[in-house]
This record gives sequence, structure tokens and C-alpha cells, in this order.
Amino acid sequence: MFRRLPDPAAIVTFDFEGATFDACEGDSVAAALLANGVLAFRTTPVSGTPRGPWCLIGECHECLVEIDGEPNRQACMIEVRADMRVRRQHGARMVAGWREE
Amino acid sequence: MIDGRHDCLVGIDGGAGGRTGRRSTGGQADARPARGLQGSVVNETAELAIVGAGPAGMSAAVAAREHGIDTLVLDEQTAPGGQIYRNVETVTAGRPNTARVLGEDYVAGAAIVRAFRECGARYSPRTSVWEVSTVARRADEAAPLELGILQGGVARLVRAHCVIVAAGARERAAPVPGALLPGVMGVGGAQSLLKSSGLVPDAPAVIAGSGPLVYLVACQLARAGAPVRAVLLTMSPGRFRRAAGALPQALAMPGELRKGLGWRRALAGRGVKVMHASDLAIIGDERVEAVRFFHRGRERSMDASLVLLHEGVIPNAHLTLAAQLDHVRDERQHGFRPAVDEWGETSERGLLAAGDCAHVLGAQAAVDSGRLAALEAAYRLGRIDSRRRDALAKPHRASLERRRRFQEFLDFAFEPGAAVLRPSDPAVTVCRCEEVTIAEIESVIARGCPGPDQAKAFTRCGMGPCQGRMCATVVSGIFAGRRGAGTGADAGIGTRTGAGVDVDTVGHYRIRPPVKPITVGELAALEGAGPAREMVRAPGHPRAGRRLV
Ligand SMILES: Cc1cc2nc3c(=O)[nH]c(=O)nc-3n(C[C@H](O)[C@H](O)[C@H](O)COP(=O)(O)OP(=O)(O)OC[C@H]3O[C@@H](n4cnc5c(N)ncnc54)[C@H](O)[C@@H]3O)c2cc1C
Ligand code: FES
Repeated sequence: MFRRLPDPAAIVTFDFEGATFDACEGDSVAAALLANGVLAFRTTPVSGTPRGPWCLIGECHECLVEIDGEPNRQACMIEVRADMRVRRQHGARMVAGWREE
Repeated sequence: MIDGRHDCLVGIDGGAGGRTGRRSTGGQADARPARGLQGSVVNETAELAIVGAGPAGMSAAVAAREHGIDTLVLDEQTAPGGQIYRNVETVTAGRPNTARVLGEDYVAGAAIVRAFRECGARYSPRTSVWEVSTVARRADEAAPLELGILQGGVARLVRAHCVIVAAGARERAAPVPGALLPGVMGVGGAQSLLKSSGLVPDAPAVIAGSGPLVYLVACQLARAGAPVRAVLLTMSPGRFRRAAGALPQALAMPGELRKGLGWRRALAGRGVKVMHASDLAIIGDERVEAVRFFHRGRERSMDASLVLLHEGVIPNAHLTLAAQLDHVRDERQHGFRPAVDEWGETSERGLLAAGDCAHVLGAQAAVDSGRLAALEAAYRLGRIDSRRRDALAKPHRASLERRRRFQEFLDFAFEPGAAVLRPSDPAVTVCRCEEVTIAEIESVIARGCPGPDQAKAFTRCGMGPCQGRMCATVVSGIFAGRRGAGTGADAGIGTRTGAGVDVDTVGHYRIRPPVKPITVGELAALEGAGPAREMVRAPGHPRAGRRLV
């Protein structure tokens, strides 16, 4: 779906639902997933339909994923780190401004 | 710097002199932080705190430092630059292909960032601001404004004498059928992937919408060799006639006009189809498969794996809305923005707004309005007198005025169509988070629901994680269309001014802090802080009614 322009960058690897993905240092988790062909990041708590990132600047909250066991993390605002464990988020609900712990 | 470990106040040298502000700040004799606060939950103070390190925030910081103001800049990104110059340091230092694709206007941002890095302001990246409040006004005259910030999973408080909110803009949501499918994203969103990670689409992509960013990003992606199948223009063609009437205003900035015409030529040169389209719908089951639209009265469809939408940008006003400042609805830009005076001061003394979050006028205007706000702060802090402030402001005012005139032309030329502002397809989902359709909104209106804020209670629209950022203007538009009276051209929606109309009944959802996602655990660091306790009791919070312990 996306390719990377051929500029130099250091590679980091992370785990996405059991698969090992490559990313570039400085990628957001969202960019890293998109670069690996993942478009759907979560399913919604209401109808269970798949969603993917929309704004990529931290506004729409469509990119919510589970990172290292924590739900409701904004993939577009968090830098990918080596050995991070990322999963799609299924349904977890978040209410205006408040993230569950 | 705000340090993850220290918990006491940072002393500030060079406190302001005794001069008081234009609208008197009331016996303020010394802008240094009140020592009595030592050991309390306030973690840091500054004479001036700036939210956002885009062109507006960076320029404000540079100008403030020229007058020796102790300045703290907070931004949730990892590096300075804002939306337009996102990641510009890394790109110009070592990503030549990305730099070439983004072009010289982007690369020029590196100089602004360098000036900011060298200006001596304290800069705190990866820091989100979840509240601006005036609760401290009575307790602390030297630093009456308070910011709630979140940094590395810990909530903290910052107090400042003046605050400049320079939070920028966000892309307006386009409520078209199929817009929720994975593979649909904002044009600016896709561009941010290019800036931050050098990503370009390598599957058939369609760009659809209205506004300069549509052309700019289409050119950038075409230059990168991305398979852009078409650029679909969704504004009504009739707009151009009104825009033609505003052509004299456009001539205020001939360079910008030429740039725009150059984009059109560049797209034609690369064989990218640019065509008008109406009744756009995105087709797909689990992801985007095609777009369907009408062109010259005939239905057309086009296969696509990515659809990039853009219907202009609107001010990022959640912080100022949550602070319950006066806001106005901008009739031409169809968005809400804080009401500000000629310096950018909001209805709250010492609290200023600059850049696109105060009025969408683009990056150069953001630089000018950022500088004006900083000059006013310098005056308030007693660093310059009013004559010097006014003299220094002159070139920025002239530049801003040219841009305002030019913007009038842009606002006409790219005004989104009715399908975006007042969508009527009952099946379309307006609230992405809680999945509320237009039909549901219309049904509560039919049952007598007076406004968007009340619609929340009936439908949950605007109550999800985005806090109404994506649906507020659309829901307001639907109410306006249904009630005939409209949300009121430039109607004040402040809660205090006599002239204003109450925000509850007209215009916008009431927004409550925190405006950035936070957990109760993260807030625990603020134990004992009044506002935090209040928030946990705020309606809407899952643990409303419980005390923070
Ligand atoms: C996605 C996107 C891409 C754009 N690309 C271009 C472009 O390529 N060319 C162009 O001419 N215009 C572009 N624009 C238009 C853009 O709004 C202006 O050109 C310019 O960036 C405005 O400058 P600013 O300083 O007002 O705001 P911004 O540049 O948006 O800077 C605001 C900063 O505030 C930070 N911020 C916001 N809220 C908070 C908070 N609560 N806590 C902490 N930090 C916060 C943000 O992280 C951001 O860095 C784009 C807009 C968007 C939304
Ligand atoms: S994609 Fe919009 S918040 Fe992450």
C-alpha cells in the first residue's frame, strides 16, 4: 500500500500480533504498521467494523491500538521502539479524554 | 526543562519590572513565581508558556526571547516544526529524496526551526497539554494561568504569567459515504507520513476534496511517482464565480497565486487527471475498493486502494473551548475559533492565541500572529512600552493584512460544498467514535433537541475518544440546516459576553478538560490539586462522582 523513499534510516524490529515487522527509527507506530501493509488498526466497540488511521496527527483517535498490553494508545503519536508488542484493538471503549488503565 | 524527577519550582531570573499591562493586571509588582508554592503540585513556572512548536509557536518564542522573556514551549510532537514543517530537521539533515519530493517551501522551514532551537526558550517535546485554566488567577497574581500537561505518563502543572496557544489546525472531516473504511485518510494525514517516514502510496490512490493542500500534496505525491489516479474537486463549480469577484484580493499575494497556478500546471504535466466531482461515495467492504461520483452529470467509478480526502482545515480550538473562552463561528471558513483582539488576546486576560488555531491563514500568517502575540506578552511583562510594541508590530500587521485579503479569495474559491457542511444522506455516520448516523441526529432534532450539546445525551455523539473533534462542525451544520435560523454567522458562542449566544444551545458541544487522553493513574501525581479532583467528578468520566485518591 505504501513504499518508502530510498533515504537512509536505521531499522528497528517490533512485534505485531506475533509477526516480526521492520520499521525505521523515528516512525510512529501508525507509519510502521502502514509501511507493513496493515490498514485496519482496530474494530469499533459499537458495530465491530474495522477502522484505520485517518488524521495521523493525534486528533481523530481512529488509530487506537494495544501497545505492550495497554489499550487505547494512539498509534500515530507514539514512536515505535525495538521489541514493542503491538496488537489490533478490538472494541475497547474509551470515553472522552479518559483512557482506561 | 521539565524534569521527570524534580517536583519543586524552577526559579526564574529576570522577573518582570513593575509596569502593569494595558488592561491592568491589578497590582502585579513582580512576575517571579510565588515562592510560597514550593512543594505544591505546580511543577514548573514560566513568564510565558507557549502551546505548540509550529510556525506560530516557534516565532512567538523567538520574539519573546528577543525581549528576554523566560519562555517555555510545550509540544506533543517529537521535534519542532508543527504540521507544515513536521520532521524538517531530520529530513534536511539526511533524507535527500524526501526533501526533494516535499519541495523548497518545506525545506525552508529548517531555518525557522534553527532560529527557534537557538533562541534560548525552554522546549519540551513529547508533552501534551490537556488543559489551560485560570483557576490560579486569585491565588497567584504573578503566574495566574495554569496548564495541565502530560509528559512520559506523568501529569504535571505549569504556571505562567502569559500563555500563547498556538495549537494549529486539523483537517475537516468529510462525511461522505464510505469515509470510515480503512484506506481512507486525510490528505494532510498522508502527507505527514511522507514527512515523518518517507512513505508514499504505491497502490492506486484517488485524492478528493477542496483546498490548496489538495493541489500541493497531489504534486508532491506525483513527484514521488505515486500512482495518483485522479484529483477530484468537490467544491461546487459555482464557487469560482464568487472567487473571481475576489480576484483583486488574491492579487494581494501574487506569488501565492502563481504558486497555485504552478501546481495545476505540474499536475497536468505529469498526466494527473484533475476533474470536478459531486456525490462522492467510497465503495468497499472491509477496505477501500473504488470511488463513485458524478462528473458532468454522468456517474463514473474508479478503482482505488487509497482515498485521500481534504475539505480544508479548521482551528484546533479544543483547548480554548475547554477553557470556556468566547468563541465565534467563522462564516466563511465554517469553523469555530476563539474570539481574539488585534494582538491575539482571548476573552481571558494574558491568554493569547496565535496561528491557525486562532484563524486559519497559513504558515506565514502564523509567523506574524505569533510575533504579535509575543510583543503583547513583552508589553504585559513590562519589557517594552506600548510605543515600542506598536512600532515593532507594524511590519507584521501589514503582512497579516495582505494574507487576510488573500485568504478571502481562498475561502471563496475552496468553500466546501453542502455535501460536506450540511450532509443529508441519513445513512452516513457523523460521529466516528460512537457511530452515530445523520438519521439519528435528525431524529433527535425532530423530537425537539435544541442543540449539539444536548444531542450528546440522547445519542452519545461527540462523547467518544476524539471528544467531538471530527463531528462537531458537521453536527452543528445539521442543526443549523434543520433549524433554519442557522448557528449564526459569526454568532458569539461565548458563555459570558452579553452579545454571545450560549455555547450550550447554539454552535458547539461543550468541551471539558482533559482534551488529551489521560488515565486516572497519570493524574494521580496531581493529588491535592483542585482542578484534577474536579475533573474526575466531571460528568462523562467513567468514574464520575469518585474522588481522586
Ligand atoms: C496535517 C496537516 C498538514 C499540513 N501541511 C501543510 C503544508 O504542507 N503546507 C502548508 O502550507 N500548510 C500545511 N498545513 C496547514 C497548517 O495548518 C499551516 O500551514 C501551519 O502549519 C500552521 O502553523 P501553526 O503554527 O499555526 O500550527 P501547527 O503548525 O499546526 O503547529 C501546532 C503545534 O501544536 C502542537 N499541539 C497542538 N495541540 C497541542 C496540545 N494540546 N498539546 C501539545 N501540543 C499541541 C502540535 O503538535 C503542533 O506541532 C497543514 C495542516 C495539517 C492539519
Ligand atoms: S490517526 Fe488520527 S489520532 Fe491517530
